[in-house]
Order: sequence, then C-alpha cells, then structure tokens
Amino acid sequence: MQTIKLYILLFFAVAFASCEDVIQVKLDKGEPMVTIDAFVNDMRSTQKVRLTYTDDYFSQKPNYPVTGASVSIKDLTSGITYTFTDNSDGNYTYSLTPSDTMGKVGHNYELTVTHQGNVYKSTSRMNRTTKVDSLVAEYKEGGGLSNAEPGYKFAFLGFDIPGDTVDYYWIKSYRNGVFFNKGGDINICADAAYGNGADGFPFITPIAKGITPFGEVFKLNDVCRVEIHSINLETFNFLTQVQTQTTNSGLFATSPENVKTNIKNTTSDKVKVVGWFCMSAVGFKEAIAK
Amino acid sequence: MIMKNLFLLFLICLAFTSKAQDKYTVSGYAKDAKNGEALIGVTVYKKNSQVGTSTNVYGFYSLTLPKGQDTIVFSFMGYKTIYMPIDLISNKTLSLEMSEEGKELEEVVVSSEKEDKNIKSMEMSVAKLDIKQIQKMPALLGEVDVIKSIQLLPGVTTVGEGASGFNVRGGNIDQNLVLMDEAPVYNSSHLFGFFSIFNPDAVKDVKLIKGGIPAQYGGRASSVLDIRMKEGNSKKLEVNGGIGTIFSRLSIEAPLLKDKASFIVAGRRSYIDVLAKPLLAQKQPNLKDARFYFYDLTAKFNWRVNDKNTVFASGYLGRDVFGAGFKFNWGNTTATLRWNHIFNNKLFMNLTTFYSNYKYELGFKDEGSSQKFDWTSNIINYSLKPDFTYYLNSKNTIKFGAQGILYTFKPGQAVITAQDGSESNISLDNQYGVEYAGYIDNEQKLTNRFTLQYGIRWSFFNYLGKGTKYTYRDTIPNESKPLDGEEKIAAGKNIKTYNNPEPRLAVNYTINDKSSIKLGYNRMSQYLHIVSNTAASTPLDIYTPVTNNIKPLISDQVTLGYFRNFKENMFETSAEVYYKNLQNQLDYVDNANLLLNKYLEADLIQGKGRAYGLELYVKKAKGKLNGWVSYTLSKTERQVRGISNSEWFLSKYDRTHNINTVLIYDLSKRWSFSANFVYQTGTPATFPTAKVEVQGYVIPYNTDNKRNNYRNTAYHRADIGITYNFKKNEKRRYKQTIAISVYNVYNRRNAFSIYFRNNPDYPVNTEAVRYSVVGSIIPAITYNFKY
Repeated sequence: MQTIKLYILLFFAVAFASCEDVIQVKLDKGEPMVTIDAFVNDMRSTQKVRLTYTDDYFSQKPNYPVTGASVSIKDLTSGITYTFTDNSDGNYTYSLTPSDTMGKVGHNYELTVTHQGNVYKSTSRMNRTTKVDSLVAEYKEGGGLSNAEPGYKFAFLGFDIPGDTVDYYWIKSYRNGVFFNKGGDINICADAAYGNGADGFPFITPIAKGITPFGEVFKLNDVCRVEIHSINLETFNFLTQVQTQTTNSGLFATSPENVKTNIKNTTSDKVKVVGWFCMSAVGFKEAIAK
Repeated sequence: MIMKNLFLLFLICLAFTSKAQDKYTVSGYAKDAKNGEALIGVTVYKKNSQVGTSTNVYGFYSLTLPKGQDTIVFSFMGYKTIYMPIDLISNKTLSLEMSEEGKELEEVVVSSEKEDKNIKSMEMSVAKLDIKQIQKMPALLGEVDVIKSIQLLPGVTTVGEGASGFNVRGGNIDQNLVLMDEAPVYNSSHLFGFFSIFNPDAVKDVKLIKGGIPAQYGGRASSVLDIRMKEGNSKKLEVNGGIGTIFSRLSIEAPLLKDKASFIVAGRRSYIDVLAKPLLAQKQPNLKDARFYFYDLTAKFNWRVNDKNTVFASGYLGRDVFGAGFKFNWGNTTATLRWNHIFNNKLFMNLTTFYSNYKYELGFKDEGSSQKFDWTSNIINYSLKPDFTYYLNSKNTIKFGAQGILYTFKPGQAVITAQDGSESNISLDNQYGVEYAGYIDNEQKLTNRFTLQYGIRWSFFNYLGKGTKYTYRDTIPNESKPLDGEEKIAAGKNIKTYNNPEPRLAVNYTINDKSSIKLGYNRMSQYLHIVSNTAASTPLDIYTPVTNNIKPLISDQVTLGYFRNFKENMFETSAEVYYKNLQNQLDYVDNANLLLNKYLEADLIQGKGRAYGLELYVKKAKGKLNGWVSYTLSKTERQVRGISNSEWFLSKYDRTHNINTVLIYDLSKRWSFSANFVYQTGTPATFPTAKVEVQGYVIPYNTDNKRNNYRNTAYHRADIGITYNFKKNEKRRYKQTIAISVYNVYNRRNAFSIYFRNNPDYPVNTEAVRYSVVGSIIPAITYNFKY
C-alpha cells in the first residue's frame, strides 16, 4: 500500500504541483496523562517499561518522565512476580539473567503500575514466534523514486508457523543497533501476509523486504539485525493504529483517532491512562553488509 | 393502512378536478432543427393563458385544451419562439422543430414570453446547467467538467480539490443518485476526483435536484444528478474533437436514417503517459513500464420506429489504469436500453432496462518470482424500470411507475500466490439484494396561482442469500462488535427485508408573474452505503447493501423557497432554506478494517445526521454578460454513539460559508471571457492536543477525544478563461476554437488537510504540515474543432 501511495503522490506532484509546507497552527493544551510503554520480551537482556506524561503536541522536547512509581510483572501461570527498578528517568528496568524464569511462551502475564495512589493493570499472553532463517543483502545502484543512496538492501527469509491460530508478528529491524523508528516503517503481519490466508507461507515480499525501509540503505560493513516479535491481534491493531496516526496525510487520510490502550486504571475512572502492554517471544538474526 | 389512506386522499384530490367537456389533446415532440436532438423542458402553452406544460426528457409533451381555434406557443431559452395556430376538432399530433436564435452572440431580444419558468414550475432546489455554458467556464487544466461545474452551485460542497464526488446539503457522496441516461454511476471520477467521467461532447442536459425530489426518483438520500446524453445528429454528420492538456477527445454523430435514426460515439483518452514514456525511460528506468492513463467511451443509438415508438440503446465504458509493478484499475460500465411508447396522446411510457457494473482491481506481482496478490471487486446491477406519464387534463399530470434492481456486490475476490505457486483464496462472499419500488404522483393545478405535486414512492429491499448471515453483540460503543454467530444461507433465501413509504410533496404559490413561494418535502431511503473512512473517497471504497446488521439510510428534508425575477426575467433570484434529517448514516469504529474483512459489519456503526442552511442565488440568464452569484450558509452535523464522546460533531464536509461566482462575458462572435471565484470555510479537522510516546514513536493524541475540533484554513480560488472562435471557413464547414484557462490565478495554496508529524530530519521536533493538492497556478490550453 505504501508504494501505491507513493506513486499516487508522485503523479499528483507532477500533474498538479501538489505541495506540502510546514505551517504554524495554534493548538489547545491537553491535560497531561500518564503513558505506560510496556513492550517486554524474552530476550536475555535488560527489559524496560517506560513511564512518561503526555505533553503539548508542539513541545519540542521528549515527554517528561514519571518517577516514583512501582512497576511489576506477575507470571499468572507460575505465580512469580518480577519487580522492576525505578531508574528515576522514566525507565523501570529488570535484567534477565540467562537462567531467568521470566518470559515463557504460553504463559499469561499481568502488569501492575502504581503511581500516586492509582493502580494501573493490564494482562498479556506471550505467544509463540518464528525464527529468522537467513538474511540476504542485495546491492542497489540507488536513485529511483526514493532517490536512495547506493548501498545494500536487506531482506529476510522465514516461515510462518503453520497451525489453526493466526500468528501475529512485529518485525523490528536495526542498522548498527539503531532501530528504524519511523511510524511508516512499522512492519507487522498476520501469519506470512497482511490478512488471513497465508498460514505456513514464507513471509511475502513486502514484509521480507520491509526490514530495509523505503529510502534507506546499508553501507558496506553495516550490521543489520532483525527481530521477529510475537504479538497478539490487539497489539497488531494497536501498531496499525500507530502507523496510521503517524503517517495520516494526503488525499486519503482517515479521520484522526486516538490510539487505543489496553491498560486500565483500577482505582479511578477519572484519571485516564494511555499506553500498551505486550509480552513477546523473539526470534532474531544479524548479518553484515558485504 | 397508510398506503390505503394515501390512495384515498389521492382519489379525493382527483375528484376535485373539473370534468373534461369537449376537450381535445395535442401531443408530440419538440426537436432541435439543427441536429434533431429532442429538446428537454420546452414550455408549451396556450397563448394568453396559464394553461401549459413542458416537454419531458424525451422531448414529448401532451396538452389538453378546449375545442376550437387557438394558438399554441412553444418557447425555449435561446430558441425562436413558435406560435402555432391550431383548430382543435379532434385529438392532434403536433411535432415540430425549433431553431436557435441566429443572433446568439448579440444582445438577445427579451421577449415577454414564458421565460419565467423558474417562477411557475413546481421545481425547486433544482439547478440546470446548459452544456454550452459549462463549456465556457474556466476549468482545471482546461478540461470541461460536469461535476466540477455542479460544485459551483449553492448547497453543493466537496471535501476538497481532487476529492471524488460532491456533497449536497449535508449528504455524503454516496447519497447522490448520479444517473447517466437512467443508469446509476457509482464512481463519477477519473484520476481519483480530478476529472469527471462524463465526456462533455456527448452530454446534452444536466439537472441537479437537491430538494422537493419527485416520487419518480428514489434509492439515494440526498440528491439526484440526472445527466442526459445526446442522441446523435439525425440531420447530418457531425464531428467534434479536441486536444487538451489531459484528454484528447473525438466524437462522431450521424444519421442512419434521416430524421429517424442516428448514433453518437464519443471517446476520450488521457495521454500524459505517452508523452512521459521517453522521459521516464531515460530518467527512471524502473518506471519505464509504468502505465497511467484513463479513457472513456460513450455510444448511443436511437431509432424512431414510428410516431408511437422510439428505441434508444446507450452504453458507457470508462477505465482508469495505473500500474508499475502493481496494478490499480477501476471503472464503470453501463448499458441502457429504452423504449418510448405513446399509447395514446395522453399516455406516455418509457421502459428502461439497464446493466451497470463498477469494478476495481488491485494487484501486486513480485518480479522474478511467482509471488503475487490479486484483488477485484464489483457492484453489478440489473434493472427494469417502466415509467408512465398520464396527461389526464390541463390540470392534472399523473406519473406512475415501478423499478426493480437486482444487485450483486462482490466485495473482494482475492488470491495470494506464494513463491512455490500455491494459491490461497481469501475472497469474501458475494452479497445479493433486490430493490423494488412503485410510485404514483400527481401534479395538480388547483387554481391559477396554486399548484400542488403530491406523491408517494414505496420502496422495498430484500437482502438475499447465497451468503453468510453474521450476528453480533453490541457491547462497547466504538469498538469492533464481538461475533455472536454465523449462519450459511442458501441461494435466493431471504435474510432481511426492509420497506419504506416515501411521501413527497411540492407546493407552488405564484404571487404574481414575477414571484412565487415554493415548499417541498421529501422522504428518501437508501439501501446501500459506501464504506469509506478516508478524507476523500478512494476508488477502492466498497459499497455494502443493507443487511441484518446495517439499516437503510433514511432522510427527510423540508425546503422553503422564495423565487423572484427582475427586469423582464433578465435576473432570476431565489432564497431557499432547508432542513434535513438523516437516520442511520454510516460511521466506523476506531481502527476499522474496511477492506477484505468478512466481519466488516462489526466495524460499522450508524448514527444520526442533521443539516440545515440558507441558499441565496442570483442568476443573470441573458445578455452578453451572464452567470451567477450564490451564497450558502449551512451547518452539517452528526451524532454517533461512541464517537466524539457521543456528542454532535461537524461532518467532514461542513462548510459554514460558501460563495460562488461564475461570470461569462461574450465580447464578440470571436471572443468570450469567463471567470470563477470560490470562497468556502475550511473543512473541519481533528487536531491533537498532546503527544504520546510509545516505543520511540511520537503519536498525536486528542485528550478531549473530540472529533473535528478545529477547521482547516478557508478555501478560496479564482480562475479565468478565454475562448477564441476562429473565423469560420464557409467552404470547409470547419469550426475551431482555442480555449485558454488559468486555474488558481492568484496562486493560493489551499489546505486540503493539515496533518502532524515528526520532522524527518529532527525526529524530536513535531510540526504541522499543510497539504495542498493544487500548489500553484495551473494554466492550460485546449484546441477544439467541430465539423
């Protein structure tokens, strides 16, 4: 769909001199709300839950951290609670040791965040994930629509796990350890494609090639890392919403809407909260461009 | 019960009509002497009286008068008035041809004859556009465009440039019944919304009905755009053509049997792709196989078998083709067969059968592997529609008829092919429905000043198998409804039936020759909805019939208007107010998945709508300088449970103020100038009040959860056009014109939308971006010829 959009934009740009320019708009200031960003996975590294306050849309700095909260995740299947440490910068961390029991596929987890007398809760099941079979790089001369520099374009090979249930994946890619974090680059899929019908298939081309975002390249010796995170339908929908709301432009923009949240304030209906909790299993691979 | 009462009322009204005594009927056709085209709306009346009628869309009239000698007057704007003496001693057939006023470019001699039609007729909230006038107006890229001209009328808005369709008095784009020779058109646009699919060389008559809609029309909630195509010159060969910035056009019309049978074939094709090809091959080798063009072909044939029977066959085929490693095509196909039959000189029938198919295709193919994805979607209609007009006497004209439409909706035939060639079919079930309706309507002159038109249309819809009946539980507003059950339904088996009586009423009180007051009421019901949550409708938007989960759209509209002409009908003015109430308008839950989703109905919600406004209109109909100025003050709102805190919010096409000015100045036989000016309040928009950070993404967020809490900046634009007619070469019968147009003269960057994003170079910075579809002055030149 992104490519079609681009061609259409190109056509308009040529035919009608359509244009975009940055303008000044005066916006109302919304009341700050607590944001809970809790994407936790089974990788043996430091896991992070980030708490911030929403800020005015045009404030040109990162959102303010929420400190002094307590954060824990309980494995509802085994009954073990893992407590996260407040780093006083909005990050609450938990370091997984190689022998740690946290992060088991099929287990249900409950997130609890307590802040200023409000208890926020959410649950998530850790679904199965698939592995990255291999990474392939192809050298491109550059130019074209995206006017990209010459360099390597990575694609990955992998198969959806066959079975009755639809598997949802979030494919995250990194260049030299830096995550491609543009909303338009969110690469998510249901089984091996975007809807039903690709159960057990190899990941279709737009997904496989999507690890190198449009207009981006890897230079010689750059490291490409790909992670396949298992997610669920709700998270798939949430990320679709994030993608839509951060790239909602042009003739066919949809009505802006607020992203959903799966976290509830269990003590008060008055204090609203926004954010997302998701437990993921991860399959990953790295390769060097050469 | 209601039906029975209404029928009784109808009979009572008829009983009031004076009994005919020694009266005879004159009937026949009025045609253009130059090319044999039927003339629509010619006023036919008894001299020095209020007794009269006008020709219908097929040029037919019937007038009942007392026995004896009389003069019948045929009057039509721009044509020489004909005074025809008759001696009525029996029923009489009188068909005639009218010629254009020769001195068309000089000051038209104002005759005091019936040019006050806008005052006397029942029609209100009706705008008729003369194709000759449309052709003189400045147009985007010089392409004469019926839909764009409609958008310059009061009460008509659009979400912005390049958007498909138009909004009439707060109605969504799918609430317009767009008829091309009686067949409905689902997507009236080429290239999204930039050009309309109607070839101006083949269009004869354009009429937009916004209110007081007569009972013969139904099936859409807000308006009727009735477009009639030319029949084709029945006198001699005529060739029209042109080379424009976007299209090249050619139309051929000719008699097959002089004055008896003729045809027209008209085609257009865009040719940017042809010009761009060498350039692309050089600069963008990966785009050298790109396809982007659109074309349409209109063909019509008519045969006047004898005095009582005429048959018409017409067809339309249009396609937009885009592709480059993908394909994205869409278009309409319609075919219509009509039969006009005159039973006797009081009873006229038109029988229409049509086929209409709107189709789009989307596909991807991976080069060098067999991976691909193909998706097609269709809406197919078959319809039979008999319409009768019974010219009972000089005081009553009764119209009655019926219509049946068989619908097949194919929301998605989709196949994914994997690398190893294995296929996976993710197609959705087809949906079937039958819509049928019957109507009866009488236009009755109560007194010389008081005319009534009253009628009823009764419509039915059956949602049919074969298909799957889904049932859902309604839980949290604005969330996808959870599935309760699925049931397979056999072919032809009824799933859900709806029916709606639709009363219609129009009243004309003529104060004097110069002014009148009109009142209109109509209820309309609509059994299909466009499914689109984007700012502008896309060609990919599917239509859904009403189902067991989706209710029909119902609108009620009341219109009151005051009409007055000045200076011997030189100026026509009107002031109208309207109030429209809409039930069951479609809206969407957040993050709705509208394409290839078999549980689509779970993501659809329905709500209320209301629209009201004032429309002021001044038209100078005659003279070297002509045109119109209109001003609309209006408000359009919606209320949907779960959206915008369940409060009323502005609809996306609400524009408080809307000013349109169209001026045409015919300087001489050679030169004609034109100018448009448009001012519209900016469309409503939802802006964020905060930003949310999740996983490194900065997401705009509205903490009040209100929809359309802001407005985009106002839209205004001026265009100018110049037409030069070359000196006619008498020997060669050639007529050539050059039209130069400049769109967006003062280079305004009108915001189609304002959106919010992170600065691409400094992602921590957030900014507002204005997107303008037209970002500069657009000049264009078009060459036209006529043979």
